[in-house]
Amino acid sequence: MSKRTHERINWKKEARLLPGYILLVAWVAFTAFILLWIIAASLSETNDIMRGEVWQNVFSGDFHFENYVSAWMSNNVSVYFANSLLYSIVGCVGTILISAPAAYVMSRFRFFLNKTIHLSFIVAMSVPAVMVILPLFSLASGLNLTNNRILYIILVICLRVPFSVIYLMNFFQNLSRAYEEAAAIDGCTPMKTFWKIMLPLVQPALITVTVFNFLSIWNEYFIAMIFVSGDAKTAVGVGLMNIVNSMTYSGDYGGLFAAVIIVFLPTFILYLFLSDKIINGVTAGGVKG
Amino acid sequence: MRKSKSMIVCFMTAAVITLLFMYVYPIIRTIIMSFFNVESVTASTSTWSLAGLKNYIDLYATSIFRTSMINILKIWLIGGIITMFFALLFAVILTSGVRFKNFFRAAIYLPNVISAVAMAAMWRYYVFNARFGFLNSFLELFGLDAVNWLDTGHIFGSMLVAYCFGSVGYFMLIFLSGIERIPSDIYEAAMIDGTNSFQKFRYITLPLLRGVFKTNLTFWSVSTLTFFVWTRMFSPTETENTTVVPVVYLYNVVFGSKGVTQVDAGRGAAIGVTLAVCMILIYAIMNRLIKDDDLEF
Amino acid sequence: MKRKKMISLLMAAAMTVSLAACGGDGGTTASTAPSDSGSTETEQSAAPSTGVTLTYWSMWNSNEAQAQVIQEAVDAFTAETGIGVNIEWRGRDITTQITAALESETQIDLFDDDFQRVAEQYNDHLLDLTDLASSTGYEDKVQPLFMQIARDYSEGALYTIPYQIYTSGIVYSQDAFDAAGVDASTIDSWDGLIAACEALKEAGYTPFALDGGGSPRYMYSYILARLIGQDAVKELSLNGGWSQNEGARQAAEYIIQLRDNDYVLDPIGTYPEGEYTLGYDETAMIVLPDYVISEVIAGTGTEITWGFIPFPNLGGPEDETYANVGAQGFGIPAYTEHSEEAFQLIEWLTTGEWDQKLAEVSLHAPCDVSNTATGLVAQIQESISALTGYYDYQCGTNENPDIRLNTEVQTLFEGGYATADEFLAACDARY
Repeated sequence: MSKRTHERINWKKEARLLPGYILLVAWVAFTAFILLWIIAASLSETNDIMRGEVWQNVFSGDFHFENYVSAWMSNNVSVYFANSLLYSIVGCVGTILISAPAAYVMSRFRFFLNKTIHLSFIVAMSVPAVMVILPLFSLASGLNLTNNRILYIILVICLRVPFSVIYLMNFFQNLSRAYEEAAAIDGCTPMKTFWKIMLPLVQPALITVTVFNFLSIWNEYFIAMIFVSGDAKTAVGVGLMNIVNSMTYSGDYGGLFAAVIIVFLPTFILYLFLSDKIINGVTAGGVKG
Repeated sequence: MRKSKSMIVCFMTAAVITLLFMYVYPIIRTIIMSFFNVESVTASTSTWSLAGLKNYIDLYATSIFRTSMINILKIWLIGGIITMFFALLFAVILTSGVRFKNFFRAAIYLPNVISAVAMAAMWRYYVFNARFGFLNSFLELFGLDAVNWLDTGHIFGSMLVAYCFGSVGYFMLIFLSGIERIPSDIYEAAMIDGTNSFQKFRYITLPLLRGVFKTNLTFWSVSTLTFFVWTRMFSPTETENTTVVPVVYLYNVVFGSKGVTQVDAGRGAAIGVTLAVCMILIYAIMNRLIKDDDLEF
Repeated sequence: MKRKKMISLLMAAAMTVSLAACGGDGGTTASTAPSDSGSTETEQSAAPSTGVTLTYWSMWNSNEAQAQVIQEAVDAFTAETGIGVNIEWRGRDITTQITAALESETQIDLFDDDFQRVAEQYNDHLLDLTDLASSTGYEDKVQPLFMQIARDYSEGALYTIPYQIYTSGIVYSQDAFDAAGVDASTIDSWDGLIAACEALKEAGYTPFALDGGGSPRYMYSYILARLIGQDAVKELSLNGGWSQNEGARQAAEYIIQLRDNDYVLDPIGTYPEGEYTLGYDETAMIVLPDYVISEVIAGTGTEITWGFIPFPNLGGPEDETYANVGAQGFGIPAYTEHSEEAFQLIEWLTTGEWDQKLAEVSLHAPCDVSNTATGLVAQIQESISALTGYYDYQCGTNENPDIRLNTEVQTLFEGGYATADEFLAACDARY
């Protein structure tokens, strides 16, 4: 009996794995095919795209890099790209500077309203943006700050702080108090201890949280659309939407796909290098990035 | 350890200010606004007049808003089932001992790091394209007729499929880590008892993933309720009732759009509050239905 | 370790790019200080700089033909007058951005969008241009009908100056008509239209192109307005009652007739590929404003010969001298300090040489009545001169912003309803 069962389990295991492989490969191949096609299309002329002759075109070595040039220059992608980089980088740094100290004291000390603030950050993570956008817009326009880079950066920082605080708290909690005690004996002030000792200790978490913040700010759409709508200041998401919409008037499909690739590349490259970190961040934190 | 009051104040101030500025004040003001006649979002409070429940009553009587709520419900429910099904399926496959697990995992998660606009553009302008699109080329390969995936009968389904495709990876990761956290001795014990793999899944994995399900459903609800970019990409020229969702309607009502001559920020606020209440309801119902266990994150 | 280096390198590179972009940007946006805003335009100008720089939010994208002409015109304007102009190419999304921008008094001296929207939706924030237009004698130079419509939209005040004026009707491929032996002048009634469709179908064409961007409803609304008049259509749109309306039933039956005889594109193309079928010589006509021609040419590079006729009279209160006409329109925000300069620029763009050039690249009729056209544009211009009345965009079915019936009409074209009554019931179900 035991032998038969053993054989059956083995057979079943094979049978179970094969459909699994097929499904995985199909799914991934589909993703890869789409991406490759978009790349091929971004190097083709609109007429070839329309005739469905993208592959023939690319295999014949007829690359139309001018799609990228036109997307980058005349369609303003260079500007959107630089804007998004600025927003993402300043946003990430600002978020860490605000969240890390808060996460530290919240995980280390009991104080007035600690629990309430903690809970508020958790709730804030699931507040739909539409609940906060109207008063903020009215405030901004009262101060004549719509279409203002600094305000937008402040908004994305505020948007990322709750997630970052909650995420970092887990890591500070796991640090031994011995570090602080040793530092105190050496005469180090608590504040200095934090910057010099505790913060470097959570460096891996800081990197993970920053990667998440970067992706999230890079891909942010809704708030950018409302607060930095101008061509000169807007971010890649809104910019790409503008390009897509204008493409339907100008019929420049090649340029459209080139713009898609340009917007897609930075996060893709980041992901190539950091996919382990990102994936571990999702699974360990279990919080939406 | 010494507790330094000045340090706490110093370290907490900025974070608390972001909380007050970005969440507390706007939420309170949005709620208040929803009970007033506010025409323009930038109108000063002196021009507001009390409306009571009028904004809500008018809103719920508007056919396009009802359509948008039905659409979002469909996205939440049908899309949720599809997404959770594939996410769980892939998580189970990936923990069943396949090779190249990390590669597959990373590839399936990939759409999550791409701008939603870029993702939607790929689907809308390539995969579903009637002329040169992926799906129709595929059908052609088998000698089948081309389908217009973006006509009134198909566009909602097409949009939903595209949206779910991109979402699966994230929920898969959460399931994956849930399954990996199930202590292996439980499975070993089951092996001794002679259970097959389906039974293992049905009687061990699934029940132990309850908490993970709750986490996933919460995130799914948060992300679907603010559905916006996909509709804008799939119906770029006009707001269509096949694809309209509440946030799109809110945006039109507050900021104006093609053909909407009257802006009404009070009604916009009422939409926001309605969505937030839906969120709270979903959360409360889920908390009742799914009891926590220790695998919850 | 290696990876870390990689990241810091990437970050550093990113930093440099963004800083460089910021540096470059300050010069071109020039929205704050007038001192640094004279910038490049004035350096090459013949006229001395006035120190005034206008900010123009444009509905065009910088790579469109119209934008290129406007850019040239603006450079010439700066050279002539010494007034600097800083153009921000916003694209069609200006519709969703402009309200917020006007509300927050963003520095804009002029902008453009669909002229009905400018006149109706944004007028709270706009300057009444009546005085400016009369003081320069502007009104005597341009198509009077469009100035009249601009006034109609905002109860007598003049908030917008129309340009890129269009009319609508049946845009057709002369090549297809020639191949099928159809004379466009025979399309003067429903029967004439059906006869033409049959001939085109026999010649291998799908008579009507359609796309998912609203062209099915445009066609249905046109038929409906021809049958019962636009006011009655508006009434229907606002209050429903489609099932009880004979005209609505008749119009739906006409569509079913077209559909059942394969006179319309099936499946309906998406926008804009559906209309590109004209350029690919697969379809022969489309009921849309004349701007569809330049879209199709831009998208397909087609070299077919085009033709244009008014939509035929179907025996209702309004005959073929009624058409949906429209335009883009300039508006000047009420809060700007440079309204006179802004109006000067508008006049520069909409009359004389530059109006002519804009009309030529976009295949629109010129605004300036003293400008003349040839070929297709002449046909269009002639048809505009013959007009005795006008329809709104979508001929009245846009009247109720919450109920547009786009989906229902498109479904009717797709064959989703077996009978006209089913369609009408579906429309009424929305109310």
